[in-house]
Amino acid sequence: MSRSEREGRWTRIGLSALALGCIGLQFGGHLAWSAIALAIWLLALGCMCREALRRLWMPRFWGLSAVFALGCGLLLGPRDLALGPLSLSGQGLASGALMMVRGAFIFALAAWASRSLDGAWIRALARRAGAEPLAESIAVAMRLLPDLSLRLAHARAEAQGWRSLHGLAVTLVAETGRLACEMAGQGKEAAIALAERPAGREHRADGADAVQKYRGAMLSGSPERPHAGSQPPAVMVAVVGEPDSGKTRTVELLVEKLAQAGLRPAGVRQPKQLDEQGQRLGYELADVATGERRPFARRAARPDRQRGFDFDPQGWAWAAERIRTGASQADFVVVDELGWLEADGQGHLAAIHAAVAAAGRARFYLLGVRASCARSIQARLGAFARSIPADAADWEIEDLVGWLCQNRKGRNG
Amino acid sequence: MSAGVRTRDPFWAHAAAFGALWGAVEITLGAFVHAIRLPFAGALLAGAGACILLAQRQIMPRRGLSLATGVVAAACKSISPGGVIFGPMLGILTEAVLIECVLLLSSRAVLSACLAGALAACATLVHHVLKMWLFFGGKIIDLYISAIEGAGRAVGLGARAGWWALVALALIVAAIGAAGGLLGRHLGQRAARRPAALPVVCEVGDEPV
Repeated sequence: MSRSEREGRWTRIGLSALALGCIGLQFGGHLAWSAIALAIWLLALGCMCREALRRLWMPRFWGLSAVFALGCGLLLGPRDLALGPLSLSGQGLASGALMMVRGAFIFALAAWASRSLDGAWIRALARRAGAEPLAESIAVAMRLLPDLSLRLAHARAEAQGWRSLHGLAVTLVAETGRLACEMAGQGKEAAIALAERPAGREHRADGADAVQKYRGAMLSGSPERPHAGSQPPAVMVAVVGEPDSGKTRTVELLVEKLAQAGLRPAGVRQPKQLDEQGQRLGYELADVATGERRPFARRAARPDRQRGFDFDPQGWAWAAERIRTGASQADFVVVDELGWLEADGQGHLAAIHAAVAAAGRARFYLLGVRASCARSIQARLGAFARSIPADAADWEIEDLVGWLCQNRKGRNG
Repeated sequence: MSAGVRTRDPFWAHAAAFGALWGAVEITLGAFVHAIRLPFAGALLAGAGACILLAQRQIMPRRGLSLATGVVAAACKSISPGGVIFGPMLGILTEAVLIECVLLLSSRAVLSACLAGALAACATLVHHVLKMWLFFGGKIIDLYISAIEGAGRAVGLGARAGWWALVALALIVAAIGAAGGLLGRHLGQRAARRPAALPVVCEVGDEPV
C-alpha cells in the first residue's frame, strides 16, 4: 500500500469516527447541538474532503429545505409570532430550523459516503460476501455501460415517430438478450443468422443495424473489415463527442497514459487554432510521435465552401504518411477529428484503410470522432471495439487504458 | 469476443446485459427527463425499469433474475455524477425487489406485468416519503399531513379532499408504471419471436417457456 493510500485510509477512518460522533450529537433533537454537529462536520469536510463539500451545491435541495422550514412555521403549532404580514408559529419555526439543520447534516454525510460508493467498492463487497458471479456481472455491466449509454443517446436522437421508436425498442431488447447469450457462450448460430440476414426494409427501419454494430463491437473487440495476412485485425477505439466537447484533450490524455504504460504512439492530432476571442480559426496537424506541427485548415472565406473550411491538400498527404508509417512502426495510431468528410468516405479515411490493410505493427487505432458522424464512420471503418464520450470520467479512461494494454498483451502473447 | 466482456453463467450474463441497459436508461433518459423538468419523472423512470425487467423475463424466465438485474443496475448507478447516489440506488433496488416478488407468481401473465409495473412506480412515492423522513425527521410527516388537509380546506372541499387528491396522484403514478410493465411484456414477447430467436435457457425448477 502506497503512502497516499495509507493516508486516504486514515482520513476515511477518522471521518467515519467523526461522523458517528456527530450523529450522536444529533440524537437529542436539540437545535443547538444539531447545529454544532453540522458545523463540525462541514469543517471536517472542508479540511479533509473538499470534493464532498462541493457536492453540497444543490440549490434545489436547499430551496426545498427552506420551504419546509417556512411551512413548519405556517402549518405546525399555534401562530404566536408576527413577522410583518405573516403570523407564524414559534414552535413550528423551531421545528423547521431543526429539520433544516438535520437535513443539511444528513445530506453532507450522504455526499461524503457517496464518494466511497463506487463500482469497484461494490464489486469488492460482493466478492467478500462470496457472490463472485454478481461481482463479475457488475464488472461486465460497467464495461458495457459507456457504449450502451452512447448508443441510447444516439438512438433517442435518431428515432423519428412512434413506429421507429417501437422497432428500436424491440431490437434493443432482442439484441441485449443476444448479447447476454453470447457472453455466456451461447447463441452463436443465432448471432450469425442475424448478421447474415439481408438488409430488408424491416431491418433498416427498426434500427437493427445500429444495435448489431454495438453488439459486434462489444463482443468481437475487432473491426468487421477484412484484413491482410494472418495478423489479427487492428481494433478501432473512439473518443466520441460534438465539436468543442473535449475530444482532442481526452485523446491526448489517453495517449499520455498509454505511453506511460509503454505503448509507442504515432499518427496525427488536429488541435484547434483559436483567435483572441476564442473563435475557431482553423486546425493544425500535429505529429503525435515527434510533436511536429503544420497548418491544415482555415475557416473558409466563402460560406458556401464545403463544411466551412479550406483544407491544405498537402496536409492530407502529410497526415497519410504519418498514419502509414505509424501503423508499421508504432503500437497504436492516433487519428483525431474524424467528421463529415470521413463520414462521406473522404478525409483521413483512405489513409486509415490503407494502414489497416497493410496490417503492420499497430494493434489499435485511437480515433477522435464527431458524435453525429459516428454511425456513418463505423459503417465505413467497422464497428468501434470500444468508445468513450469526450467528457469521459476518470474511471472510464483508466478502464479503456487497462483494456487496451490487456488487448495488446493478449494479441502479442 | 473480448476477454473482458464475458461471463459464463447465462443467468448472470442476462443480469449483466440488462442491468447495464437499465443503468444506461437511468443515465440517458434520467438526465433528459430531469433536465426538462418533466412531471412524474420518477414514475416514468420506474416504468422504464419495469419495462426492461418485464421484457427480460419474457426472454429468460428465471426466478431471481429481476432482483439480480436490479443489483447490477444499482451498481451501475454508482458512476452517476450526481452528489448523493444512495437514494437512486435504493430506489432501483426497491423496484427490483417488488417486481421480482410479483413475477415469482407468474412472469408472463398480463396481470403480473400490470401489477409489477404499478407497484414499482408507486414505490417511488413511498421512497420519496421515506427519504424525506430520513433527511428531515418525523416532523416532515406532520407537515405533509397538514399541507394535504390544508390544501383540501383551502379549495373549500374539506380536509378529506386533499387525501383524495393524493389517491388520484398515486393512481396516475400506478398507471404509468403499469403501462411500462405492459410495454415491457409486449417488447419481450416480440423480441423472443424475432427471426433467429434467442435460445431460451431454462433449468429444473424454472418456469416453462
